[in-house]
Amino acid sequence: MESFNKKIATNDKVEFIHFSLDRTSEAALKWAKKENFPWAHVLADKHAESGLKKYAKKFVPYYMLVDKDGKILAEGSQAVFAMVDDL
Amino acid sequence: MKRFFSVRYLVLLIAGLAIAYYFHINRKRFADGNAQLKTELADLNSEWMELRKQEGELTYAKQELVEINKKLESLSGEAAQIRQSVSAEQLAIESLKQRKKALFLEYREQVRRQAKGAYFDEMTTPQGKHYKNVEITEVRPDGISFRHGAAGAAGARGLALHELPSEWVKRFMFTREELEWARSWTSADGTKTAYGKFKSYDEDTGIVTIDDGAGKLLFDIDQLSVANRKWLEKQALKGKAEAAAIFEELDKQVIGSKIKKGVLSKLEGDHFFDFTMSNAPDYYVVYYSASW
Repeated sequence: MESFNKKIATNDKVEFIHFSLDRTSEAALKWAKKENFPWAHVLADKHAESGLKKYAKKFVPYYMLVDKDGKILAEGSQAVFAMVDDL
Repeated sequence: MKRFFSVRYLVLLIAGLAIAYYFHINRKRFADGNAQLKTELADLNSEWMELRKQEGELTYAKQELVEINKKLESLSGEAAQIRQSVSAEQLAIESLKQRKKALFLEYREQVRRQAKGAYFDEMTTPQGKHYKNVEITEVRPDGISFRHGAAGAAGARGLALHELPSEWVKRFMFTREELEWARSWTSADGTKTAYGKFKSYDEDTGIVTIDDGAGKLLFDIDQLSVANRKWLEKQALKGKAEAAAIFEELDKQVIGSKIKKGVLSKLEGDHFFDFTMSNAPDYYVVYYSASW
């Protein structure tokens, strides 16, 4: 959350999207309310049409920095946020 | 006997000459070989000297490299210190900003409290309404209440922020955010007024959403005054043009084209609402995770 507020919230070039792997939107909502997530979510019923499902790994959490053309630029929270610094 | 001596002498002479010639030839060959060896030795010596020179240069370069590595390590340490220092400075700046904001709010609160009882001979709103003998009774985040008129014929009145003269806006330190937030929403018959920040207007359903600070208020556009409706229609047109430009940009993207509409949600209050991006970003950080 701190990295998001410091590095992404004020950067118009970057959008932060949470791809929720919770099976129901209720579970995702409960968690989002508890943590007061400020970012955009892709909920379970929108996985297929989001085009982001193909990038998912078999483990969580997984961070990925991807450009607008779909090219993966960095993976893993450390690498992703380090690269966001330069954007 | 004499003949034999002569022949033997002649043979010996020839043999002696042959031997002398042989030694002469060999001596010349040795001399030539020796000279060649000397030349080769000289060449080898120069090559050796050259190699020694190169070895010296390499040793020097190696020492320089070691020095450069040391400097790099030292600079790397300095860079880490500078980064830490910058980070600490940023935190300090952030803290100062918050402190400044807190002091501003504290000071503004005091100014607004002290405004009670302030007297003005006259005051004119941007809409042209003129009031005399004005005495402020309360300054609120959404407007100002005051008494006006001569004693015995005094009236009370409240003004929303958009009705305040600019000198009052400045004097009572209303911010742009407050001015935007405190738009007034009046019912079609003019009997009711609410204050709040415009959140959205859905042209399909005609539902207007505002945030009054305590939560969301939903109105049907037909319930609102003509002035509010005109403003909303203007906003809708403006929003449409902006949204069209953003959608056009997103359509060119592999990522943006898929998530531009109806895919993203955002938490607002207790619910998820559809979220549409307000710009076309060049990069996306995608965070795959779950609550479990």
